[in-house]
Amino acid sequence: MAHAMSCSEAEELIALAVLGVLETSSSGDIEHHLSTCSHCRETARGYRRATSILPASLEPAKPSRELRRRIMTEVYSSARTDRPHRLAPGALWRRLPQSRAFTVAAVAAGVAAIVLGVWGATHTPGAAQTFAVAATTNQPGAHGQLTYFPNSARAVLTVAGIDASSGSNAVNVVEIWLVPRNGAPVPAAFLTPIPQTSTWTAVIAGDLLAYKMVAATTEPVGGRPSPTGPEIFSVALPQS
Amino acid sequence: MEHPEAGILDLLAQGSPEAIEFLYDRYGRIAFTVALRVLSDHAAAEDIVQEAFLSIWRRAMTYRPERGSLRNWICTIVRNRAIDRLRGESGRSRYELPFDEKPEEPDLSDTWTQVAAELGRQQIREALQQLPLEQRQTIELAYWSGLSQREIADNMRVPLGTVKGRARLALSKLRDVLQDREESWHTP
Repeated sequence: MAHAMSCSEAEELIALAVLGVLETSSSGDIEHHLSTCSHCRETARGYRRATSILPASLEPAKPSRELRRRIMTEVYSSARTDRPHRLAPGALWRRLPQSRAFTVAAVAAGVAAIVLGVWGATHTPGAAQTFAVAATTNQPGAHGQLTYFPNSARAVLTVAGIDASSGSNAVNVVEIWLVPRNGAPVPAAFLTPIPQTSTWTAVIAGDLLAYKMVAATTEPVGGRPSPTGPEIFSVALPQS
Repeated sequence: MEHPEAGILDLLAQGSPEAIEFLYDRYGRIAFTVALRVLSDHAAAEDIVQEAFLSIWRRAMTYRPERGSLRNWICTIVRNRAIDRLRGESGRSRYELPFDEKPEEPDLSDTWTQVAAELGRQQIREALQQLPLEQRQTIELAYWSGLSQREIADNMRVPLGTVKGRARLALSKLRDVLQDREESWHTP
């Protein structure tokens, strides 16, 4: 039976737990305490956050390109055999040039997908759709694509060739907006960098085909409820 | 505004291979860095990262977005697997708090995401350097070495209670640094 534990004792065990060194024999005591003590639940939350920054203190190491190929070969292979998910071959084909180390395996997977009849997915209402990023005069080098997955009402936006530090504020974010046919733009996401590929990405939730376009502006850190900065690119969406 | 990672988790749960590709491009390098820190072996670290991402792929159907930061989840999976590899079966006998001990307040606030992103490696190192040496060594041994709490005590030649106290003080100070940073986001 768990004994009544003080918050001071609990905090020590919480620290060990979030660091991954608390022995399982103590788990009953701490779980019982946490179930009744909101103060210590908040402490656990704070300690977990503190622990979460430890990986970022390390000097980044770079895995081989071969590792990406190994992982994605197995993932795409199991997707064909184990999963109900159907690949849109057009989307896969468009990704090949971006996935340098993955090319050979992906071509093989694409051929196999055709053999398996996955090609029919292009004619399915739920197939992924891809739209091109259009640059503006503010960021003429912006280019990329937005891939929309209608079944999940999610889109992955990938952009290159932008400089998010431009503008009057030294520290900016790139905020993504869904622009309706009528009405004000809706804040949708922030663009985040992927240093390995020198690209920026965002995942956007929503029925994108109900909107006129996706647009991006630079905004002060934290974003804004409506656009205030210059538009740096947009993606026109088809009229349904 | 919904947190952007929630969308990727949804895609993952639906079995989209592109979601794993996206995750690997975003988190593969930090995952490898974590594995290498624990194992100090390039090939073994790559094996662990491969295992971890395939595990994420296979477990995605049961994963819920409210479970917290995806980056932390991936780093934790990689670190645990690396420590298990380092320690063998003894690596599995320790307890960690569940991810969603407070699911009504998922750890996905935009403010926290920005704080974490804003803190560069140098600033995190400076925050760690502000800790007394024995406290910093305690949390680094605990987090990266896979040693048990008693082994840490033996290694540092201090009583077990001292290890507990140092771990608590170190995390408490780091938490305060981060909270100060987070509060600064709310200050005009």
